[in-house]
Amino acid sequence: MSTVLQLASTGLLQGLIYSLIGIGLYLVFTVMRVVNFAHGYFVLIGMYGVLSLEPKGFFPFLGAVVVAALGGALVGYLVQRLLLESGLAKGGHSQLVITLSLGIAIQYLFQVLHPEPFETIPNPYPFEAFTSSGVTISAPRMAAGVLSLVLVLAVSFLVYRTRIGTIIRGCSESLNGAIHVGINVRRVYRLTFALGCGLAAVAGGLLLPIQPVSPALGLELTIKAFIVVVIGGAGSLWGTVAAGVLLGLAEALGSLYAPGTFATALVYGLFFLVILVRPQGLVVRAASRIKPAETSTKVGVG
Amino acid sequence: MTLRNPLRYLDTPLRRVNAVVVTVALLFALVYPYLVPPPMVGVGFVALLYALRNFTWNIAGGYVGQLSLSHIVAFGTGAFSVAVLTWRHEVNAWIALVVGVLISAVVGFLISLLMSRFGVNAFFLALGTLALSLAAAGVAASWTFLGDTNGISYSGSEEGFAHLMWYIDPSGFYYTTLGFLVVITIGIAALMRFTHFGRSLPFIREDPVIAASMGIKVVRNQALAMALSMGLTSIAGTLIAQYVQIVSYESVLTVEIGVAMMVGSIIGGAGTLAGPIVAGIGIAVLEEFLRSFAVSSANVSSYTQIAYAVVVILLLRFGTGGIMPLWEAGVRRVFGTGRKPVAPAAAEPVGELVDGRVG
Amino acid sequence: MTTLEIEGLTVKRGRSEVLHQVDLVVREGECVCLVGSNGAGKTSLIEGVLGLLPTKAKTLSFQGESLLGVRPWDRVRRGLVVVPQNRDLFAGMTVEENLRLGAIAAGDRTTADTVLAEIYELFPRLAERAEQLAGTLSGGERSMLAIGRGLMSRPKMLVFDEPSLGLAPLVVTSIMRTIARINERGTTVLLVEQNVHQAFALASRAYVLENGVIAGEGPTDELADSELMRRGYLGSAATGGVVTT
Repeated sequence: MSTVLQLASTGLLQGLIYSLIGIGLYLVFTVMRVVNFAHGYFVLIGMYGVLSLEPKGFFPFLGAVVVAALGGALVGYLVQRLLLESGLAKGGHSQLVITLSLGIAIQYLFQVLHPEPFETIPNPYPFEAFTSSGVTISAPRMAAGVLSLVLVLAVSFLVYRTRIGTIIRGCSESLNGAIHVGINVRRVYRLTFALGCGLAAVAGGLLLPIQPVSPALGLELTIKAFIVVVIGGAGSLWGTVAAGVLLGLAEALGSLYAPGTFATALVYGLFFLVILVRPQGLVVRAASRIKPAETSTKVGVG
Repeated sequence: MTLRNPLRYLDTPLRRVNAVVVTVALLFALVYPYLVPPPMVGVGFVALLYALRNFTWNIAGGYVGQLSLSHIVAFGTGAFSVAVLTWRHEVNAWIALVVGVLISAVVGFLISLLMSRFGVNAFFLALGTLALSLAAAGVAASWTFLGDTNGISYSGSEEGFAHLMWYIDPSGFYYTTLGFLVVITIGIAALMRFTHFGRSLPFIREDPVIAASMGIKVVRNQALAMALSMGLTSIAGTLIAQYVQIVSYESVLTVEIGVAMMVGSIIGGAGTLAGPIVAGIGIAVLEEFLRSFAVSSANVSSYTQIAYAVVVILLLRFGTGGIMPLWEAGVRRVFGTGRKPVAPAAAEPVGELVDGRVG
Repeated sequence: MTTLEIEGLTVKRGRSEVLHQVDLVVREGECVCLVGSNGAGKTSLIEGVLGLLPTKAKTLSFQGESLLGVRPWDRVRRGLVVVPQNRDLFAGMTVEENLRLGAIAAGDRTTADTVLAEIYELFPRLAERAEQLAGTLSGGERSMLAIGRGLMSRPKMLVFDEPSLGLAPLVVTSIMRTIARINERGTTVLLVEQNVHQAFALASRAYVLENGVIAGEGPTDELADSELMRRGYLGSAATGGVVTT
């Protein structure tokens, strides 16, 4: 029983980090209808960013996370401004291939810079672990979960309770409407992309003391972010948050029954099924917002 | 269909120039193994294999616009079918190749049918097929039937064309791949030109709704193109498995392979006949070039991947359609069009952020 | 003083040119209408003026300042607001949130409450539904909300794109009366309509758009008896405009 409890609490805390990664992707997707295939690689930027700053102690670590987050946001801003912006008008596939390629480029850049896999930093927190009723949680895991939760709440406050949040939601509701009320859509897009990437990088920084970093991790995290957003649906930010926690729990409890690689295969297989049976997540939104007609290929049957 | 004078086809300078280039390239490809030492023949084989891989991806990805990553599964199926059937159970390699093709084609057909419920949303096709490929990699990594994490190694002693195996001299692999490439290229070119099915594919890519209203069976033709595309990709997987003599989920079921096919086709010119081939050979040459700089071999693939990504990002960013459209525009500029100007099929100029998304 | 001056405007939609060398002037305080049948290029003209479609023009100026090279949202911020044909509301947000977003362009947050009160006075129905999601409103209410949102930034000029489209005749009359009131209060109006009779009743001058070119212009009372009208072209367009079922 205590094993299950132990796994559930680890899963819950891990899930909160997935939520944080997921809402970055969610924001970019709902506002810009761009699926950022490089999202997980921005988590990687955060991880390697903190790693290379080699923080000793708690406050330097927090500082390093902030620096990494700003770095991630800056890279995101530049990517949006220099690479994606011009293709947005055309719609279609260019962002897909650009972000996919960008992810690959980031992965191999880190492969060259950090050929050693599984690098990490020692526990930067002034505690070791928390133990209660047979459950032991290490300090970095506890802190990462709690800080992720705080950040998720902060983002939801930003989106639902502030003026800039109203503007962001306006852009996601109707691009044309946003232009008609005089919102500088281009700037909102740049900021949203930067915010999404910055959140991914923060999550990476928090993740580093728990999960050693390898360049190949970026893809896995991208997929997990997709899982979270697709399951969470496009309705509200809270769906994404819930889906993140769900993924964390499923992963932790799943490890009880399935060995490592096979568990991953199960997760991906499940994701494929989710895409098939839950098109009302991202799909409906994407189809109805980008193109009014979404019955496209069904016409051709028979 | 009556036979016409084939020279009538060469009615524009572009076609004449291309005919000369293709002839020279083919002649060069035929004598290449006699001009260089065996290791370089191996490089030639890899170049042709990349070309074959890109070309087959392009059938569904370029002509129909299905940005699929399930071709990873096809590539892996080709490799694992020869590993399991031939290496373990001594079935003839050619039979294993055919089995790989058939399995991949069926998988491709089914995936396309399943994904078609999302309409034409490219994001979801890419996402779903990526998930499927990763699931396949996970299965291969944990199933002893597919060699789990150790992979499957070659065990056999027979050599020659009948066994699709050559130990010392790679020219056998080289010529076999060249043969496949030539036959498949000619076959696909004929398919695109002379069959109703082939001619329907670009219409489906441009606008499935209009295509359907024209009486094209969109879903069926998409699925058939995917089956054809993935089936042929499987051949490349079989060939590389025989060449390197070890197959594992890490070597044939990686996302990089899928991205390489996709990006290779786009760099060459998605939906063009020669583009994916040119890009495949170009990438192989680039890899060899980097190696000659004494870059460690682990880093060669890293640099190649980065170069790939950068090139494709720049191509897309600046709105060019890849190498082939650039080449065609260049030839037309030098030699003239030789006919009344026709609207080029090039991409539209890059617009403002909001253009085209209104109304 | 001219509020909007257009000279030699050419607009492209995709690869085809849909508007050729259009000249149009709206003076301060005027209510001008632009009529034409379906597909004549009315919406393209608006989107061109707002900068949503690629354009070429000899002159395109608003209150004496050129709009060429100015981003669409900055044109809105200068006081040129469009009430779009399909309303483009923020469907998942409340009526009040929609209205408050309309004041973004004004930049001044203190006046927003005053303007909001004015708009609720103009459309009491919107005040009743302040907390309702815009996506759940009826056609007439959506139309009111779009107009209200356009008014929030106190624009110099409002461009109405087919405000009568898809509405019941009674609602159309009420919307048209509101537009007249807005104009009386000093906002310059360009009314783009297919429904000629309603538009002519409201506007002092009219432009007739036909296949992407201006086919005629003049004071509405003169134009109503003109050759153009007698050709029957506008008559059929007018009936076609009302009965859009």
